[in-house]
Amino acid sequence: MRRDVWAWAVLLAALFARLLSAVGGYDIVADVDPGNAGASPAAGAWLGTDALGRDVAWRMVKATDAFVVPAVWAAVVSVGLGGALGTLGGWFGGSVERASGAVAGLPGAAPRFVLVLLLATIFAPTPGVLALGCGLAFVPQTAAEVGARLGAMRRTDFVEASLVHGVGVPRVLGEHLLWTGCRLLLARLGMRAAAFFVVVETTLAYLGELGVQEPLPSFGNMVASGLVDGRLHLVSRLAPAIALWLLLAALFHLDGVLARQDAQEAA
Amino acid sequence: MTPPVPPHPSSTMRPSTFASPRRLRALMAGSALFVATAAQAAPFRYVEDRAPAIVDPLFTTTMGEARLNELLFDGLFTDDRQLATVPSLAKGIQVSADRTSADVDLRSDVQWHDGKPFTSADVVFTIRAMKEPKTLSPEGARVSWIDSVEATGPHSVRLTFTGPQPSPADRLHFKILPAHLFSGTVVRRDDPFHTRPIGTGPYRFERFETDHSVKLSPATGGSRSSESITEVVMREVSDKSYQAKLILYESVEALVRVLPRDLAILQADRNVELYPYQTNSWWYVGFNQASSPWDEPEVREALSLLIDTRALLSPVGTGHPVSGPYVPSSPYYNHDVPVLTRDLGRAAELLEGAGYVREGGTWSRNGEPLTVRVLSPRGLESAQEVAINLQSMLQTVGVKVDNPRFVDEAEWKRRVWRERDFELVLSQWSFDRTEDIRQQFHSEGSRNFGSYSNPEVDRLLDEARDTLDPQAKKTALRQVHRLVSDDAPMVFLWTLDSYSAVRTSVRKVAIHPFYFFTWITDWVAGSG
Amino acid sequence: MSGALARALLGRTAAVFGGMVAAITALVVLLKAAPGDAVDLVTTDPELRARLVADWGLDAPLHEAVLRALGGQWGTSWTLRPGAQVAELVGDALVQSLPLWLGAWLLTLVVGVGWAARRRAVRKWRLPALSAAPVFLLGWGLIVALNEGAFSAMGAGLLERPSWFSLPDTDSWLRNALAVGVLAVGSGGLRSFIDSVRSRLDVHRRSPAVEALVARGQPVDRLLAWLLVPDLAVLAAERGALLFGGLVVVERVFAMPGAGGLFWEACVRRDQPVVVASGVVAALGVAGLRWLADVARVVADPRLRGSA
Repeated sequence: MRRDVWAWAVLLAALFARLLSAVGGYDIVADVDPGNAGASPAAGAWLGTDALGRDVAWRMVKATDAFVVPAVWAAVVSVGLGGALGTLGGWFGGSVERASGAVAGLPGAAPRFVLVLLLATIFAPTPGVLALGCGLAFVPQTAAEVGARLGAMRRTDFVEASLVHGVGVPRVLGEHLLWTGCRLLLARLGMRAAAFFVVVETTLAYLGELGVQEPLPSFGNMVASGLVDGRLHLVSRLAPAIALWLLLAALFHLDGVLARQDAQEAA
Repeated sequence: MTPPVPPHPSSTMRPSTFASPRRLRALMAGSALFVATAAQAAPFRYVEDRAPAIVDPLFTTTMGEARLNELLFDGLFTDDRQLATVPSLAKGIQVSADRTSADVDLRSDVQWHDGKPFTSADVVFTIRAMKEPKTLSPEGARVSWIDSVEATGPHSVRLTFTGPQPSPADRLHFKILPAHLFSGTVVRRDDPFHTRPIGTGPYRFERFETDHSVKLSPATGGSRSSESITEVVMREVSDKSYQAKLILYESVEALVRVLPRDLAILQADRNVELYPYQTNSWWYVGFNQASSPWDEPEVREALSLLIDTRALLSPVGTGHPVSGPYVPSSPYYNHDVPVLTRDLGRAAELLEGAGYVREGGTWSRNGEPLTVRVLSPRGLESAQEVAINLQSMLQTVGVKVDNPRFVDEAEWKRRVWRERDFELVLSQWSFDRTEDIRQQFHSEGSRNFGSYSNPEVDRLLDEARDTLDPQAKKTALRQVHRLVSDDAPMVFLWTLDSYSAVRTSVRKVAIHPFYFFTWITDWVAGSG
Repeated sequence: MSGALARALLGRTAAVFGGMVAAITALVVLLKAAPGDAVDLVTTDPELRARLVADWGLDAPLHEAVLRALGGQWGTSWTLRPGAQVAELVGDALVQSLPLWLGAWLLTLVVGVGWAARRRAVRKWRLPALSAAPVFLLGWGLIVALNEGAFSAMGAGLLERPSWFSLPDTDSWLRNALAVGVLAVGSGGLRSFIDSVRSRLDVHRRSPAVEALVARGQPVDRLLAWLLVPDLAVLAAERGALLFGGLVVVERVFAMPGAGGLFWEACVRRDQPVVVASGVVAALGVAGLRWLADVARVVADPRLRGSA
């Protein structure tokens, strides 16, 4: 548990930053101050300023707007759609399982990043489109894993007994199977979709100025501009990249933690 | 013969402990031949943001393609170092007394890169192909003033114009193509010529490399030749910051344009020389006058007065604010028209006159705040910085500014050029040597997407186009400058100083402000 | 081949390739619905636009466009390399990407299985930490560190200009090796593969058959390896499919020619024929890998033959 504290701390910090962004009163427009560009870290700007004189620390806080909610949406799409299709297939089996598997498998016909890039190109690289793409990219895996687990649990004695004793299908499915048996699995898969969103947004911003557009800050555009701008202080350049790395490391670590916990509960 | 001067010690090299004067002299003498030989085998590598999609002057759409064309192809005329027109593939031109036609004598000593001779048939073919509607050439406007062309001999052509032309030679710089490699005047974009272009320029096309670079080798028999630069490689490097690194690392010899933020680091390197050059380009904020409230001259003028141009420019680089649609070095620039300076008081008067009131720090009319929505092309360097600065600047003086939108090239052309779906744009216009602003400011101009219209400006532009008197043209266009400045269809911002960077191993560099490589045959490369 | 096996394989084939056809159809539909097109990149003149639209078949009915995409009739490139046959462009690009993809895939399998199979509970943090970094960040960090380090050493006279300098501009063994490594490791890919293999191994280790053999003191490594084959087939196929997407990033970061870079450029330049062709090829690749994995599973595990 001690080994996992850092990951939970990072996640909480990201959520806290999102909250601070909402109530902190930071104005991305008013903060522009070209005369103070490239300033070193100091009391007034803990991580220095960027090429437009904006406080890097505050921009990183504000950048959580760009990924917390869209990442949650990606998780919702993946878990919602994939979970629903997997539940259908796992519960009913047979031709329903094959049909839901075929539908769920559609987004999986293309590699994940290719799918998201296609959607971003066809429509626009807005956070909404990217979140939808990242969520869809994980639908096949979510549906397959939920379906497999649900299918195995469906055939257990306690489920048959519950149904025979008149416990409603919604309660059996919702409480006993999905909540008790699949919640950790769903949490993991949602977290993966969220992490994928963060990776995709930052990657698209770095490669081609896609992703969240300035002046709105995002880890993507901050990493993309900071890494290559030699005018900035080293701390200002690297801080967004390090924060991104920490966040992803935390999400992947927590995925492993949940996987172990899930395996223990299953055993 | 004195041995060549040894290279200046690189800042990356440690002084040798064996460098006694006697040894150095011996080394110099002994290595003279080697050095001389090395100077003759000197590759020249330069970078572009994007590899050319098409190597054909008929379909050129980017400056990178235009620069490559300059190495492979020639026009009938070209520029000398003073930017005066001089013959290239032509030997001379005789214009008729009424200036409605001209006879052009062509050089007979020029060969295409495949060895075939250059003849009048090539000139006839090129002009007819450019004019051919089915060719779908975006360059067709370059020959719209030529009514017809015919060969009057193997090395002479007669051009007939649509109207009197004051200086037809100035308009005959477009590149000539080989007629023998095409089956007719209808040239398709997917014609196989593009995979193996043949020209008469100083370099011949060798191949497209798998990494999108283009390799050229010196051509023989062309109109010009370079004895020093033995190979030209155009590399595609989309990361602009990495481009500066490449020249520091000695991986390339030249950068066409240096980002302002990289100037200091390149200036500090003794092995890199910075060459400033003036382009005929200026930045602007354009209004869509078909959209309210930008159809009101007072509101446009007020916004112009709320902008501090110099403050917007300083974070981006160095340059010169402009007061109208020309660069200050242009003969058509009206120096009597002052550059606008910020005047908050006058701006407030104009806005109040237009019915705006300042409530809670924001200008509004009938409850609606004065809101600015700016669109800018994503690929324009520094546009992000300028737009964000502009947003901040205007918001501090009570104008609401939505977050600027940066769009890709296709969306830019669709929204701005085709559908006119915008309110304000932040962009840059670039002009070639003719500085023809007609398409931008004439009410019938194809690039007048702001819907600007002033009958007097139309008349003056027509007069400038039709007159044979250079002085009359200058007078007319300077008056256009004044009228356009007064009407404020755009806020004229600045012309930026441009710098290219070339390693000191390349000497006698002279850069054409538009085409860059026009005088490459005079450059000397190598360590000699 | 037994009837059950044949039926199972046929069923799997139909499912996999049916899904691929449906996905390609969806791609063509989406492209048709896209706002804006490549014609704007070439001209905004109404007459020229109309001619180009006709020339490029942008006004063709949907079913025709779908049939052309599925049939491999991709025509010529519009904006990327006008005149070049798309099939040739994509084919050449695939050949260039294959070594990178294969190298990363094999590296993932070898390192991933080896790491996961270690009996001791491995709680090293270095590989997971490294693997958490996005591919572009890993690549950027390595390139900058090596370039700046070498440049400083050259400046101090400690080093002659290495053959690989400067990255990624120079085609060199180091660039290729770094690209393979970054593609295999980055964005959590290797870590996630190791975790998946380890969890499958744990499940098999807890199976009654294996526990019985362990109780009797019998070696179980070979049995475990055989039990792992179906799982490994699926995991390897998934990993291979993911690596296709990673090619786009790695080829851009390391400036390497290949299918990933071609796809990116085609998307940016709205070169629809190349986008469609790349999408078809990617879908074919993913479907092919999944089919091979399914075949391996069905062959290795007779229990699966009835569920086709």
